[in-house]
Amino acid sequence: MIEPVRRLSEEGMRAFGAWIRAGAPGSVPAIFLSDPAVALVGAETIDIDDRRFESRFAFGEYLTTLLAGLDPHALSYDRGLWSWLAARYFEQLCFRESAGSRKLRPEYSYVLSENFRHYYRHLVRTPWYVVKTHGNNARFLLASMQLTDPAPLSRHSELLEQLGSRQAILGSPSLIAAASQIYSDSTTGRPLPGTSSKGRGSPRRLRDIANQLALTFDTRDMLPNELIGLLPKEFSRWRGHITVNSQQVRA
Amino acid sequence: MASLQKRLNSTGRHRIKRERVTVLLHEGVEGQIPWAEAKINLGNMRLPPDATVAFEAYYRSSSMRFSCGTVAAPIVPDRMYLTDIDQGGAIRFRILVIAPDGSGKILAAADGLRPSDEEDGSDRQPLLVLRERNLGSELWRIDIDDRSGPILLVTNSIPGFAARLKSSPLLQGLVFPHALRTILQKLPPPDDENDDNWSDSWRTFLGELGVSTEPEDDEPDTVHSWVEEAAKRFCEAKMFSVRARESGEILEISHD
Repeated sequence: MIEPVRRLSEEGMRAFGAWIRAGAPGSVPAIFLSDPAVALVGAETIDIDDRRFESRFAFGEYLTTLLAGLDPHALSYDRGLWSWLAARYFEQLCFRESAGSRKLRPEYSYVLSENFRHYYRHLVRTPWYVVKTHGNNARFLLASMQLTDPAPLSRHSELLEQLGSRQAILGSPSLIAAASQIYSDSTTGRPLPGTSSKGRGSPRRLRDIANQLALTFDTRDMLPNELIGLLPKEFSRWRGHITVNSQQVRA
Repeated sequence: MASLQKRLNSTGRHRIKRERVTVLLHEGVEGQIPWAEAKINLGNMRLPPDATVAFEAYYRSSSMRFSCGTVAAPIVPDRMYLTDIDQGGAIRFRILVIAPDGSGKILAAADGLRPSDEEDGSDRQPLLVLRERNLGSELWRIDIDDRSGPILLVTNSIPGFAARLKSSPLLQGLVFPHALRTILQKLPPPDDENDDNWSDSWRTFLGELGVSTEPEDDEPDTVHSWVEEAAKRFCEAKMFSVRARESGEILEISHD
């Protein structure tokens, strides 16, 4: 359905945040979706639909297409837009438990924070960003650990938390491609068991090692297999499943 | 920390000197995405002509890269929009020259580059650069980059605040002594190998205040005393209380 892009005003974002802090009772108030004083009408139009998404990756693919016509320079920081989209898809981002209450995440998961360091936790912006930046290599970052997940868009994995907290890592094609090879099942795209750990060979350690390697190597754009070859022995437990081949693994 | 990182780099990486790079940062009005332009001169550095050149902008853990061709055929984009950079602080820049053999090895680099300040008409670099930023609810803070040193960030949400800070002894007295304390507590040790060690100019400044250029030892009490002595001498030199009183700036205090 073609309709104009909307953006929550500053007052709208504050009100949306207040509604979330109050426990997000009932359905999303219509003012956050269509009241022109709160959900400001933009000049652009988008072909938006309200279908249910079976995965965060599918959601990210959809958003990448949906927003392709918008100004790419402004899109990243467009707090009003990302917050409005969160309101639009709120029932999928925050499911209701059987008793009717919602399992809410921090406010910045829905209202894009003024603090850049919270961006990677936004439940709409992040699927868009990682799919746009990494394509199929982003699949493991967005995959649910459950085989059948009733609320896939509401998840924020520990793996994404460990790698996403530094945008320089999350924005690196080589690092994410390498991490995808190391930590995911190439058949299913799901994270391997144990990837939520924080010890040796963990994604957190990969992040720290990458910072050290960056003094000497171009960790951002070098070939992922080259990067994997530089990793210390603590990552050897993951290497058994990696098929080293001559193909470049890039988005 | 900066000198420790340097000593860890034993791969023969060339240092690209600052004078080879000019960066301009265009910040525009609030809400506009900042963009950068750069001029890079890699001539006569004996680098492989097909080595790739990359320009990066970064602040804290956020960074963006722009491809700039090769050493022999540099192509620097006219406008590099900084769409994925944390806008909450002083953006820095780096240049990387990367081996063409696919190894990812960095052959040459310049790091911690500050944008040229278009307002600076003189050759003299200010000891503490001031920049306006969106700081949320904060009014000011000191941002210290390991390589390029401190910057005083002030909020851009209060019109005229930065200009007022430059001229008001009252505001200066409220901000500058504490900024000095923050900087001195993070002053890196002298590094004879590094021409660009930012602490050198601050040690010169301490000397001008009549304060020793470093504490006698690393004991917390000693460091604290040294920092407080420097702050005291600084305030005496700047006569903040006298000047603030004489300026006629008034703090209204309600008596309830």
